[in-house]
Amino acid sequence: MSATNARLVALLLLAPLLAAGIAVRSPAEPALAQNTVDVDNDNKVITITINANLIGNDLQVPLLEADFEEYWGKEGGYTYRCYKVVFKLDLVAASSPQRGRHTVFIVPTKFGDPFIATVSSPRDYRPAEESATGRWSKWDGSTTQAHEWGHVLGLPDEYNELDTNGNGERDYGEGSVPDPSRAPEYSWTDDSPMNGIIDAGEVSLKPGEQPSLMAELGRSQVLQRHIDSIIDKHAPSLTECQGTLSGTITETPLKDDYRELTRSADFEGWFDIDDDGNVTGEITLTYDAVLTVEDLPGADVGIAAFDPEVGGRVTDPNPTRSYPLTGSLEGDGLTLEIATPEEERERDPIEFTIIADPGVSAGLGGGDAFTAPGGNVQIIKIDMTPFTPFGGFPATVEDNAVHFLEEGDGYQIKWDAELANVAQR
Amino acid sequence: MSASAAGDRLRASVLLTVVLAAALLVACGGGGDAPGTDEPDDQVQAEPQGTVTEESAIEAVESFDPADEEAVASLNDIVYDGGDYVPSLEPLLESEDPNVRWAALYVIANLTDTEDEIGVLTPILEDDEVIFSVMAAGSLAGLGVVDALPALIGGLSSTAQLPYSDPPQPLSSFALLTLERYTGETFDDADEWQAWWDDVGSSIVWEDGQYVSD
Repeated sequence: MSATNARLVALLLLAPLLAAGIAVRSPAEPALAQNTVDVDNDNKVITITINANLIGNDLQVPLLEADFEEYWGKEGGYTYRCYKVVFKLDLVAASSPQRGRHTVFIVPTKFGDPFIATVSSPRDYRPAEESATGRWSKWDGSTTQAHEWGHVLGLPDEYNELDTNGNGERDYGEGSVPDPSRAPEYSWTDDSPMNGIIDAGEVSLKPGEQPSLMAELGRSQVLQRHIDSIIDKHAPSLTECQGTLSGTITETPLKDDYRELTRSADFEGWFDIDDDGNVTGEITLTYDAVLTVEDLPGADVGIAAFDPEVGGRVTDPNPTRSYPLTGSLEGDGLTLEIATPEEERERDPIEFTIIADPGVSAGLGGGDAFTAPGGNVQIIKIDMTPFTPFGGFPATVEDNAVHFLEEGDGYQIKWDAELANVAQR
Repeated sequence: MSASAAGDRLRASVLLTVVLAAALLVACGGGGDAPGTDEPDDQVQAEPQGTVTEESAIEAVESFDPADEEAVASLNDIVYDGGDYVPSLEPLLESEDPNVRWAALYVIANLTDTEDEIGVLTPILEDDEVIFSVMAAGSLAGLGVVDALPALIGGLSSTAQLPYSDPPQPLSSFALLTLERYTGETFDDADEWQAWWDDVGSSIVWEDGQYVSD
């Protein structure tokens, strides 16, 4: 071999090896996340997509997608604080597991086979970064599938295995019941003979609560705390949401044929919502009151007749007041309240003075009126306790906004709130 | 050495080099992870395909420990594999350990398809333990074994659950769904199912994946 040929051979031998080495040392392409999270702060939408391969039965892809939608594709999405939460399933038929995707094996069974769906995942599973492996049957119902997708999203089981034979072990004949320590929608009563452990028949769903998808089969549902848990696992960097608030409240404590007393407050405020859904902020209210007296019957005092028209506006010397705001956001329920106790908000009544001709009565007994000495001056004391626009119950958040309207006999409460994410850690 | 021979050796060396380099690239995993490929992923927790043997199937059933979170998943790997494991597992139906016996039944019931396998499962219909008889009946009902139906009806009154089901599923619900699916009948309670069986049981036959009576 000539020297030239020898160098050529050496170069040809070396070049691919170098190329291989470079390829090995090159930073790997970022692995696709098993569950991808998209946070759209402009529109306040969190989208969590489960990326999974389906192995064993390609025809199941559209069926599993439809079943997924039934539970996790709730119309309008779920909510997490001031966000709308949308779950999507990117399910692809494949022949083997694939990097960056969960794997669901469809185990070939026939209807009636006593097959039990399982999902395997690492200890302390991080669903956005680690893989889960499901082994399901094509006959698993939508509730079972939704439960298993819940595992893929990082939710644990919320049932408790009974130990009916008391051997301290899990045995095939021992069933399970929802575990109130993990599913607070349920309560446990240690019936007689009391033994300090959960036995069959001792767990029941609390009145008004919904059964948990992760605790039982039945008509169970995805609950708000499931959403909160999933978001905490997928987007732990999300932090404060902020809200703004404005509205009016009007009240007519006195109204008859002649008189109408209306008091009202325009208000606006702001609030922050912390990680636990606690609300803190401030509300500023501007109070007003209006008294009108119309068509008051004329008075005939014998020598003269009067046709009075009296009325006026209560003047509050300090109509604008601010109070700390408190409350909570639980799911889509926003509860607000003035933090200052009501008794500390009380203030002296405002005096409303009517000057009329002698003998004319404004007849304002309902306003705690009295006729001052002199006979032509009536002073009406009007209770101006700063009343609250909040009733202590939650208003529903939809599309990151609240449009609250409550009307009743002689009152109307109307307020709007806008919620927005303002920061990420 | 002729120029031609030297050239042949050079070409051979180049070819060998390319082959070695390609092999090295593949071995080092340097081929990339293009989306859409089916490259196996070492992060994936379990890969049932091709990992089950007769010995491992027996081992999984014999060592079945319900306290192990992966215990049922291990059995599912055997079922997914779909191998001819019923003959090997049949002796474990006689295990003294009820959990092992249950695990053997679980795998066998989910694998049963042939006449021989039906023969293994059919005696379980008479098992004193309703969980066992109903599990066997569920499998056999889909294979045209008429005797599975009264066993399923017997399960309608059970308060037990299908063991280790996730989420927990009442055995009665499992029995009812199977009965409704394969008979096309719906009744309000176990008594009505029993009355139906008393009426048509002697004449019922398996046709086109469905039980029908004359």
